[in-house]
Amino acid sequence: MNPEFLRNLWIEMTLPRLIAAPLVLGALFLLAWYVGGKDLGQVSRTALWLYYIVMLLWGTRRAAAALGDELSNRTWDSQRMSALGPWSMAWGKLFGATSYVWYCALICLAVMAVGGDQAWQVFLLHPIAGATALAVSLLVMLLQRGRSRVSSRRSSLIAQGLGIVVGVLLSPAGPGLLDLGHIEVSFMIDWYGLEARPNNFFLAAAAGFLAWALFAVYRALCADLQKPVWPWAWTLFSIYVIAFFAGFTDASAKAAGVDWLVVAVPIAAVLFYVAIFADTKDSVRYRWFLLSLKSGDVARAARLMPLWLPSLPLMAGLVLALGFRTDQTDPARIQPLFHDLFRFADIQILPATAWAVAAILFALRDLWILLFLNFGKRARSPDLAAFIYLAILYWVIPAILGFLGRGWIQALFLPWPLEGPWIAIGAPLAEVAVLALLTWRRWQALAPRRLPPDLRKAQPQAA
Amino acid sequence: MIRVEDLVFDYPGFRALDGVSFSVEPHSITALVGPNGAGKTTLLNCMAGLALPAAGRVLLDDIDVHRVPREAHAHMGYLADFFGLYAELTVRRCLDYRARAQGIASEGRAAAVQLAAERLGLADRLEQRAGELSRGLRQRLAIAQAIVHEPAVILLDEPASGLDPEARFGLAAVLRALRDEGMTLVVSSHILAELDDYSTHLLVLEQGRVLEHRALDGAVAQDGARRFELILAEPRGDLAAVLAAAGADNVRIEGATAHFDAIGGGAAQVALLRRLIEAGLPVASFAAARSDLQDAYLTLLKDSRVRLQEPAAVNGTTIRGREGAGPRA
Repeated sequence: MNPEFLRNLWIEMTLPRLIAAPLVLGALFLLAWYVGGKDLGQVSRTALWLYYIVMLLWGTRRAAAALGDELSNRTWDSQRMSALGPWSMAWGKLFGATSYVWYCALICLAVMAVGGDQAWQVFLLHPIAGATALAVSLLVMLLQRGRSRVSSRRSSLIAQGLGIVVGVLLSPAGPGLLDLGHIEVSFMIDWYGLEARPNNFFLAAAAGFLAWALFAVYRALCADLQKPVWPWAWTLFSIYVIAFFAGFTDASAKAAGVDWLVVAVPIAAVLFYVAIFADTKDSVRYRWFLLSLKSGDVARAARLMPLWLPSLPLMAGLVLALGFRTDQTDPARIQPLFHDLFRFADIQILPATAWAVAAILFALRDLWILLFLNFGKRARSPDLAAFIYLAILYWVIPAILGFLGRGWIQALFLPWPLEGPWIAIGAPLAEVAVLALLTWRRWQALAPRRLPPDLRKAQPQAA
Repeated sequence: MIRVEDLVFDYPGFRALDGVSFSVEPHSITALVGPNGAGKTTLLNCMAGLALPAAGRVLLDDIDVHRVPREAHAHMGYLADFFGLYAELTVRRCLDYRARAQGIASEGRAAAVQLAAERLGLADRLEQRAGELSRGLRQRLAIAQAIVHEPAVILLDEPASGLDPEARFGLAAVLRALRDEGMTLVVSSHILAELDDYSTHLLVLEQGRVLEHRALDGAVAQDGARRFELILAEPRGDLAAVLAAAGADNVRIEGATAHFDAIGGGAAQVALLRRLIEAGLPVASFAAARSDLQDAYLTLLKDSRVRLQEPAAVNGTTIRGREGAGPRA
């Protein structure tokens, strides 16, 4: 048996706890049966609620603690010194630390199965949503590990919160399948022209995202256990997500001017921002990365490569493709979507390519802001500060300017081509240049101090 | 056994290791010493494969620790300065988990657990919970976990920290026993008197660089020479001549005591003693000599800082007036 899973079982599955869970849950189900007029359906609904309370509120907390407890109890280094590989560690932690949660959740699922009338696809979505929520919680903890500035309590809360969000989105309640399960489904999902029933489609989609979540935990553990891997996973995941959502632009949507690029660009942008926020922005790592590239040590450079690096060209390529494509055809055809998204008043006068370039420059500016704040010696929560600054830059100031009347100054805060392409590109370009210079200077200040040259070096061999 | 080549490790604004290179001989105990912030913990982390250096490599025999860390860990044990235990588990389960995690097959696991417990004097506490153990016993359990898979190399970061004198004495005995059983140890500590008891080699780090790496007196150096101390019952005028005739080198005589270098292992030592007695010397004591590690260490640092003209403090002993310590590394 997996040693990490077994160790967790030793701690979690003690005899008193094994006896207590069915007693407590059984009492709750009995209460629901009486209160609900001795209706089994009421018991099933109670089991559903209990399942998600157990899995999302408690399970995500346990999943985060699978790493958090090791760090706070100082046992993580000892685990990293074991011969356990990342995969054994991943599933041993994920399902071991949450074994008691699964024990309670399975009791709830069993009651649900007996008393409920859900389609089997909907029923299977419950454990998939739960497992994905747990995997995301553990993943977020792993991603935050390298940040000494983040407290363990806050790390756990962030991990738990994101796990809950993902769990809710992938649960049958996310796409509304709980209600659909009770009525005759009269529509089909159109995905790249393939037609599928909603239950089947969402089950397959959720299983796909669960597989990605488990793989992400494995890859994060590879980094923590110093296992060298090539950095292709994030790029592949990005392409998967973009391809997944782009598949919903069916023929009727295309006829309405909604090109697949219009779906792909916002998703690529979201992935870029996820990458820049999720990655550890350690000044030393950037230095080592550049030095590895300079020395031609590709393997080491691959291990140190920032997560956002493949996301930037991917997003930029898609944005430019959209810009060029819009120029070459009829810009007005995608006007409604961008009007809603970016409040563009009149896309007819928009040189879409200028808009695309400006959008890429703003993404770069935001990257510099994050790096600048993270390279500060005394920054306490640089990512949170960056998030607040970006919210002010993108929402608060443009809203104020909107009241005052729009002008070229808008181009400092949004991709804003209405005053001409040179202003649209020049304004963010100036911001990028200034922030790049400031970040570079701050980064250079963190360069390791050179030691006095006359400090004697001993002979490498003992004598 | 272990070869460290041009290791470089940076923290923001601070180079913790700057081209560190050395080799650790098999079956030795290397005392890793240096002031706070010298890079001792960082060096041990890099040697254990827990931290990826900016440059350089660590070889355990032919295994590159940073390329195949899992493989290296099968031959390596590590005890961090601030370690933790699974307080809810019994000593037996702590060791059993560790044995499983190190890939010990089921048929040999119980024996490995028992052996590790016996080596560390925990055999009578196997059913006690780890959380109920005293500080000294917790330290022993942590070491037992690190050696349950019979590693060739053990890295220990401040193992005696927080132990009472009796527990320290016991720990020194344990480390000596592990070396006698064929293991190679690298021990970082601030307690130099304790290191003096069992170390065979001294590795001094200062500002991320190796200041000194040498065999301690009494240990066999590369040319096979060892330093000995001879004490006579009464001074003899012909002592120098007798020693020279017996093949001793670098002879220093003070009254009835002589220090000298001699080449050879145990058999040569026996032969040398026989010759000295046959020459009529009233031998009261004859043993491998040990220098005072603390004196040697402080002298080294003092010399280094005189060269640098940068005063600092070393383990509470002020050298040239400044109480200073860099960030812990």
